[in-house]
Amino acid sequence: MTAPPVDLVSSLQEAIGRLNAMLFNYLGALQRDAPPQPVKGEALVAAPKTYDVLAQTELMASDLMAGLKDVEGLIQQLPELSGSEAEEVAQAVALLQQNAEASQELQQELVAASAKLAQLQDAHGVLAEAALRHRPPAGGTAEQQKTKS
Amino acid sequence: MAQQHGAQPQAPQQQQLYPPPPPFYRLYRADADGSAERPLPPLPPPAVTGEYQQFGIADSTEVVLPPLTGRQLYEVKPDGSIDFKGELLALHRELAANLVELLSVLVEKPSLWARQARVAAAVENTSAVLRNMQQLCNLMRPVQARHTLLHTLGAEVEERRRAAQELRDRVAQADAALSGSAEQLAAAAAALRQAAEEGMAANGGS
Repeated sequence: MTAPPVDLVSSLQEAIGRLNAMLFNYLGALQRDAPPQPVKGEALVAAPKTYDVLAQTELMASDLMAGLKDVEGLIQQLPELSGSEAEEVAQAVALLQQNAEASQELQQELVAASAKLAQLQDAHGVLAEAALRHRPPAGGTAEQQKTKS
Repeated sequence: MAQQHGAQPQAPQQQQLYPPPPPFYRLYRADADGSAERPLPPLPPPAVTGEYQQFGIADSTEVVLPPLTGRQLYEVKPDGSIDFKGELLALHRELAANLVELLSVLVEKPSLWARQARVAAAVENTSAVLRNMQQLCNLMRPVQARHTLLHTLGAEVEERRRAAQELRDRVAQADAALSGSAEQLAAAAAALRQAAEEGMAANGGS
C-alpha cells in the first residue's frame, strides 16, 4: 500500500477516487445480492442465503457515509484561494526582489563578521604570545631554589 | 570441446556466430581532443519538442489539462478565477442528493434499469458530478503550485533576514567583549611586565 499523499489536493483526488470505486462496487453488490420481492403478492421461493445480506448492506452504507464525510472534511480544509493569477505572479516577483535584497544584506553582514573574526583571532594570538613570553619557566624556579640553598 | 578450443583456426564457423559490435563505438574514444586525428564524439540528438510518435501512438510534449467530457457544473467567474471550496462543497451536496435519488429509483423500479430514463439520468448525473469534482481538483494544481512557490520564497526571505540579524548580534557581542575588557587587558599587561622585571632583577642580583 502506497503512503498517503501529504498535500490536500492529492488527498482529495484520492478520496474522490475511493468514493467512486465504493459507489460502483457497492451498487453492483446490492443489485446482485438484493433478496427477491413479490410483484403481485405471490409466495416467495426462498433463495439460498450464503451470507447475511442485511449486515453487508449496513457495512457498505457506513463505508459510503465515511467516504462522503472524508471528502467533505478535506474540502472544508481547503484555504480560501482568493486572488487571480496576475496578482500571485506580481507577489512572487516582489518576493524575489526582497530575496535578492536580503541576500545582499546577508553578504555584507558576512563580510563584516569575517573581518571581526579575524580581528578577534589576532587579539587572541597577541594575548597568547604575551602570556607565553612573560610566564616564568617552571624548571627555572626549582634551580633558583637550589642555588639559594 | 578441448580440441576445438585448442584448434581455433580450424573452426571458423564458431567465430562467425557472433557478429561484430556496431562500428560507431569508434566515434567515442577516450583521448578525443577536437583535433582532426582525434575528433570529439557527436553530440546527443536534441530534445524532442511538440508532436512526436512513440510506439505508433502520437503524443505531444505540451502539458495540457484534458478537457471536461460532459456538462460543466461549476461556475467560472468573469476574471477567470474559480471559487474552488464553494464549488466543491456544492458538488458534494449534489453528489449525496444524486446518490439518494439513484437508490430510490433502484428500489422502486429495479426492473427498468437500462431503459428507464430516470435511472439513466441518475447514473449520468452522479458520474457528471464526480467528473466535475476531479476536473476542479485538476484545475487547482496550478494555483497550488503558485501558492507553494510564494510560501517557499517568503520562507527564504525570512531565513536570510534572520541569519543577517544573528550575524549582526554576534558582531555586536564581540565588539562589546573587546572594548569591555580593554581595561582588564591593560591591567594584565602591566602585571605581566612587573612580574618579568622582578624576575630579571632577582636573576641579576643572585
